[in-house]
Amino acid sequence: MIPTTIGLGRQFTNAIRDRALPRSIGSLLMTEKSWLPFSHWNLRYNPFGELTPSERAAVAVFDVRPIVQQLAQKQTAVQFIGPCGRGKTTRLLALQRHLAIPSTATIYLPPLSWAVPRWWYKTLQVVGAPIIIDEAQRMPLPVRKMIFRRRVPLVLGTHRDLTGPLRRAGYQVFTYAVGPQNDARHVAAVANARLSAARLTPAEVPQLSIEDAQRLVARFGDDLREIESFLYHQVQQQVGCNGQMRFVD
Amino acid sequence: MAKCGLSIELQQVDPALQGGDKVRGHVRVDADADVRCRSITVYAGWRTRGKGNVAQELGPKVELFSGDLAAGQSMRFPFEVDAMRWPPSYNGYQFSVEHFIETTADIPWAFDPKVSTPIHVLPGETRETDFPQPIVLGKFPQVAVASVFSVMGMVTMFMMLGPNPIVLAIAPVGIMLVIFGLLLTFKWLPKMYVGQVTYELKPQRLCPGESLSGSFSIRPNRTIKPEYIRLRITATETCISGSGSNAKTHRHELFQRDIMLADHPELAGDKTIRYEINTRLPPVAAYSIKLTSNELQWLTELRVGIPGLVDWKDRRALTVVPPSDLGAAAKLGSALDAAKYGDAAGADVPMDGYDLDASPGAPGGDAAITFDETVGHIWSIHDQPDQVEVLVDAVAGLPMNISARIERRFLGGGSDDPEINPDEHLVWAQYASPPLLMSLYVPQSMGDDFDRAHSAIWRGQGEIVGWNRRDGRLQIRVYA
Repeated sequence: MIPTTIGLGRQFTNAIRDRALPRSIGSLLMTEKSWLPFSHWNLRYNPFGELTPSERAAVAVFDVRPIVQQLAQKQTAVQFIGPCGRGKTTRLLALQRHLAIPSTATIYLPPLSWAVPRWWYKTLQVVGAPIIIDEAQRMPLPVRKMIFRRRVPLVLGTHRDLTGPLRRAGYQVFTYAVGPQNDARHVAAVANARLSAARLTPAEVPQLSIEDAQRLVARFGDDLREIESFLYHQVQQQVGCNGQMRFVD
Repeated sequence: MAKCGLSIELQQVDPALQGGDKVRGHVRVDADADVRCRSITVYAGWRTRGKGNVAQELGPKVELFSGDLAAGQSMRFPFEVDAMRWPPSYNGYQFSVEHFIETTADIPWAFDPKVSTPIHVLPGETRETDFPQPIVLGKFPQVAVASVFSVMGMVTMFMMLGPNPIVLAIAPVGIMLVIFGLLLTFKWLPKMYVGQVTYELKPQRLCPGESLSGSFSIRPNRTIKPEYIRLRITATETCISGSGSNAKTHRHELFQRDIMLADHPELAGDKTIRYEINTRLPPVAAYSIKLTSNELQWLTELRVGIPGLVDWKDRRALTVVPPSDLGAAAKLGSALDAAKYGDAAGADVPMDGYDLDASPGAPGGDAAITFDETVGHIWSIHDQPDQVEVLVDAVAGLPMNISARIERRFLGGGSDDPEINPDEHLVWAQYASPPLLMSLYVPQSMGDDFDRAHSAIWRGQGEIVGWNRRDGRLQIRVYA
C-alpha cells in the first residue's frame, strides 16, 4: 500500500528518484504533491495571495442574512462605506454569491469611468434586481439619477456616503461602515477561512491565533488588505522550513 | 448547501507529466438529495496564485453526465483530459502557476459544487508565442521619460501663466529644450564618455543552466577612469494586484548576479579594451513567463559607472525556455532556489561553475540530501512508522554529515540491537531540533571519544542504516 501524506522538498525527492527506487516509492513522491511548497502544512498554495472573485466570496466572513432581509423590503438601498482594503468588495461578492439568483446584476466601475461614455452606457445597460454596484461613488450624476430612478433594490460599495441622493430618490437606506468591525477576532476568522480554503487534504491546517491577530491589528489597524499582504510574505518566507508555521515574528 | 458531493480520483499520475499529456481518472458523485443535474463536467486548467491578480486558463470541458440523481445514489464516471500545454507548473515567490483537474456540477437554483485537485506539469511542446517577445529596452524609457516631462512642463506653464501668445510661442521651444536636455543627460554625454563600444551577448534565448557568453569592447576617445564595468543578470517576478487607482505592482528579484568586468579601470584613449563574458544561468525551473498581471522576466544590464554623470548602460532581455530534454527539465531546481546561485558583486563565474545535477554547494547528486533535511522530513511523519520506513529505506546508505547530541554510550555487546556489529559500540543520541532519537553504531576505536562527548554535540560522517520502530530511533552507522 502506498502511504499518502508525505510532503518532501523538491531536491530531496529528485535526489531520491534519481536513485532508481522502486516504482511505488517514485510514485509516492510525485503523487503526494511533493512539488507544492506548502504541502507539509497541508496547504495547496499560499493562502494570503489574490483570489478569484468566487473564491473571495467563499472565504468572506460576513453574515449576509440581515442584508438579504433588508433587500426584501420595498425600494431599499444598502451601502457599504469604508476606506480601501477593509472588505467592501468582499461583502458585495459574498452577497452576490448568496443571492445567486439570475435577476441579480453586478457591475464594478473602474477609475475614471465617470468620464468615459462607454461606462455610462455600460452602467445603464445593467438590468436586475437587486443591482450591486462596486465603487458606486464613480457614477456620474446623470447616470446615478437614472439608476436610482429605477427603484430596484440596490447594494452599493462606496467611499462616499450616498444617503442624500438615495433618499431623494425615495429609497430606504441602510448604511454599514466597513472597517470598525475588523478586530482581532474578525482578522483571525478571515485568515483562518483563507487557510481552510487552501487546504490540500481534509487534514488539519495551521490556524492564526487570536493573540497573533491582536498583534496584527495593533500593527496594521483595520486594514485587512495590508494584513493579508504581510501574512503572504510571512508564509512565503517559510518555504522549505519545517516545524510550525509562524504568522507573526 | 450543495445537494451532491464530488470527488476526483486520478489514476497513477506520471511523475513526468508534460503539458498536453493525457490525465485519466474518475469523478465520483454522491447525491445527498434528489437532484436534477444539468451537467457534470471535468476539465484541466491552470491558475496563478500569489500577489498578482489571478490569471487562469481552462481547457475544454468534458461533459460526464446530465440528468437526475436520487438521494443516496453514487456514480463514478471515467474521464480523460489533456493537461494544459503552457505555462508549466511554477513555484515562485510573488506568484506560482498551479495546474489542476477540476470538476463541477451545474445544479439549478443551488450552489454548484466544484472540486479540483492539483497536478504537476512539466514543460511540454512550446511555441514561439508562449514567450514574451524581446523588446529593445534601452530606448523606450528615455522616450517615455522625455514625453512625460514635456507634457508635464507644458501643462504647468499653462496653469501658471494661462494660454497667452507668449506662452504659446515659448512652449514648443521649452519642450524642445527639455527633450534636448534629457537626451544630452541620459544618452549623448554617457555615449561621448565611453566612446566606441561593441557589445555582444549570445544566445539571448537559452535554457536554465546553459552558458551565456559574449564580449564588451570599449574604445574611449580619451583616457577615462570609470568606476566599474559590470554585467548584471536578473530574474524578476512582477505582479499587479487590484486595478485602476487601486492597482499595486509587486516586484521580487528571484535571482541577481553581478559580474564585475573591471573595477576602477583606467582606460587609455584611442585604445580598444575587450572584456570577455562567460557565465551560466542558474539550473532552476524559472522560465520567461508573461501572463495577465503576472510575469517572470530575465534581463541583462551592462553598465559603465561614470563618475559625476549618468551611467552608460545597455539592457537586453533574455528568453529563458525549457530544455528540450524532459529529463533535464525534471532535474531543475525550484525557482525559489535561484537566489542561491546569485553571487556578490565582484565575483566572476567560471564556465564550469555549476554542476547541474547538484544543489548549490553540494558536490554530487546524492549529497543533495542533507542529514538535517532528512531528519526534518522524518520528524514530520515520525508518528507514522510505515511512512518513516519508506523514507529511511530511500535514504539508507547515503554518506551524510551527522550531527547529534550524545546521551549515553553502551559498552560493546551490551545491547540486543540486531543492527549492531560485534566491533561496535551503541551510543544513544538525539538530534538537537527537532528532538529525533538516534542510535549511533560507533567503531570501537572511537568509543572513548563518545565517552567524553556526553551531552555535547558530536559531528562526523556516517550513514542511515534503518529505523528502530520499537524505540522510535533512527539507526546510524558512524564512519571510522
